[in-house]
Amino acid sequence: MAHGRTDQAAESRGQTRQVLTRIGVVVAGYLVYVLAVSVLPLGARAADALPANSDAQVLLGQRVWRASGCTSCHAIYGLGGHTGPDLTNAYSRMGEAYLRTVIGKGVRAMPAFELSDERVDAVVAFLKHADRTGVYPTSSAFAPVFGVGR
Amino acid sequence: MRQEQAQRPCAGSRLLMVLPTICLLAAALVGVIVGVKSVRPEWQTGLLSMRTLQPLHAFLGVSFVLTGLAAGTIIVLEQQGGRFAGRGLFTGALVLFVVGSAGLIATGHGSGVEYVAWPIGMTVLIGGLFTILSVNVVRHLRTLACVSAEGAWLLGLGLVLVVLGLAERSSEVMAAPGMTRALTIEWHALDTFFAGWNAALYGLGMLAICRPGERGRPLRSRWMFVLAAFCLLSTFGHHHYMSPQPAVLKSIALLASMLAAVSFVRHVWTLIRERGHKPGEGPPEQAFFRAAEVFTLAAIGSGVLLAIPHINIVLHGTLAIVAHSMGSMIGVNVMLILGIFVRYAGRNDPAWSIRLTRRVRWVGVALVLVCVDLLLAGAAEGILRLDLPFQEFDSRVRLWLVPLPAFGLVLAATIGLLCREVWLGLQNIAGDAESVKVLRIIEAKPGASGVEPIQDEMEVGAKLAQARTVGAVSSADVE
Repeated sequence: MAHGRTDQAAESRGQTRQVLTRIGVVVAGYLVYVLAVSVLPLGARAADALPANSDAQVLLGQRVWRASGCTSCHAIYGLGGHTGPDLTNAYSRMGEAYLRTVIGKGVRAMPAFELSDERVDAVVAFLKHADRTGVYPTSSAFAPVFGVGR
Repeated sequence: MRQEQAQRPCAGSRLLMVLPTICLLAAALVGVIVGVKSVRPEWQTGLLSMRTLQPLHAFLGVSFVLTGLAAGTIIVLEQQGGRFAGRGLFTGALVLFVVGSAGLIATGHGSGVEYVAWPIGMTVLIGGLFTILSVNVVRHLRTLACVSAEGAWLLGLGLVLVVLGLAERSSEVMAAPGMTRALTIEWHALDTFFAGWNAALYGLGMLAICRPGERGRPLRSRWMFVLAAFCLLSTFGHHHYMSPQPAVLKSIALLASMLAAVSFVRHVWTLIRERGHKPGEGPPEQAFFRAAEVFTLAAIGSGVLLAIPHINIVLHGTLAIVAHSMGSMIGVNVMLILGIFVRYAGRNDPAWSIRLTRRVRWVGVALVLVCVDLLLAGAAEGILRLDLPFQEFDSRVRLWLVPLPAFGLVLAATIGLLCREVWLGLQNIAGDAESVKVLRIIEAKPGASGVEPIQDEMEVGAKLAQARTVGAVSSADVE
């Protein structure tokens, strides 16, 4: 009887160890991915197309984009709302003047945003940056499978 | 029966279940307004701005899952492993997170980030709470593993991934490392976060279905574990085939997404094995877990299809993705969380079980209507946007969305009725009294000769089961 209880306890300990090992393996895999993302040259293509001194403006534009809640209606590369158009290539498709007018005066369901000139410049720089990173959505379902570069 | 009643949650646990239920109902209500706005975006732009409504809707949905997961974990831990220290404080902190974040989002002070809409400071609070939960699960891992080793693994891993996903997402927002890198981190963090809560909920479900003394699912085989871990970690890349990320990440994501078809086949097999059960035959929570199985199948199947690059190019970033995520969230997460609550209500009442099965089916039908409409609108958008600019195709896509507010209203109403039924059962308000009424009607029926008259109202559940056996009770009687 006592022998049976000892076996059960040993089995239970072994099982718990196995559960912990499996949790550890997946967490280790997760950390490998995070490390990979941090060392891969992800910014290279965008940096080719943009002067280095505009980085700060692009980052400010990204902050204004978030603070103004643009994501509620607009997406970039498909991540965001669906009420308005995806703005990945809005800069080249609509032009800078059109973007400035829409931000300042609003259009249809979009309200006018009372932003300073500096902030409007930053949002436009952010959209220009997004535009230069690639094409989205594509003009063909048979486009190169992993994206169209510029 | 006596053993079941001993497991009934105390008043504190019931209070913990209120919070996710309120979040779910609020999300459904805001969702109806968002449905109207998706057809007529110009309607009430000042009062009902999408700038507030969209993040609020997403936040309430996410907070339902987070608070439901926390409540379910605490209840399971208490049922299996004893006391959860500081539960009152924990509940207070969850309420603070939900009320505080909702208030800040409603007043335009959210993070402006998709899915993680709360102000970034609140991440410290919710991340801290989930760290406490993870520590508690690890402390009781041995007890949980004895119930179901697979369930314990999924629950422990899921909670850890929720914390890691939140940390990754917040560090990116705070550091603002630039758009290209941000996109990769954003998707990776979101996928980790979602995979975490899904794994934890499946784990909770596996632990919850075990009756006292039963042994649940053992750990899956080593090869199935390697496959699951690979898919869990690598599928995030299929969200951005078209974005400027390294092709190696995308290729791995494609492979991992296609391998998820193995999981699809396993779920099909599970459903085939469970075919033939009738409502009211099993425990009350059975309907919820079966619905979760069916919608898991739909979610994995649609996920595999959407990961095929040429389908992805057409449908990604359209309303079809909303259909995929809504189906997963309501069909799987809502069903699992409510199913876990019902499981620990400790009621063995076939009449309640049949009513719950009906309500679950109504929610399922309403959800299918909403998802099909969104899928059609998304497909129209995906095809039209290949040739036309937004200004030209937008009005045509909105035509597909005309039935959405009505379908959304039906979905919200059915969710409301389901929550009411669950709540009445948890409170033990209506069930027994109604069941007595049903039995009185059955006794008066000519075919009910096999049912003994009711002497003791405490035995209503057993009497109803007897009535079902002799064919004297039907779903119509209960309704």
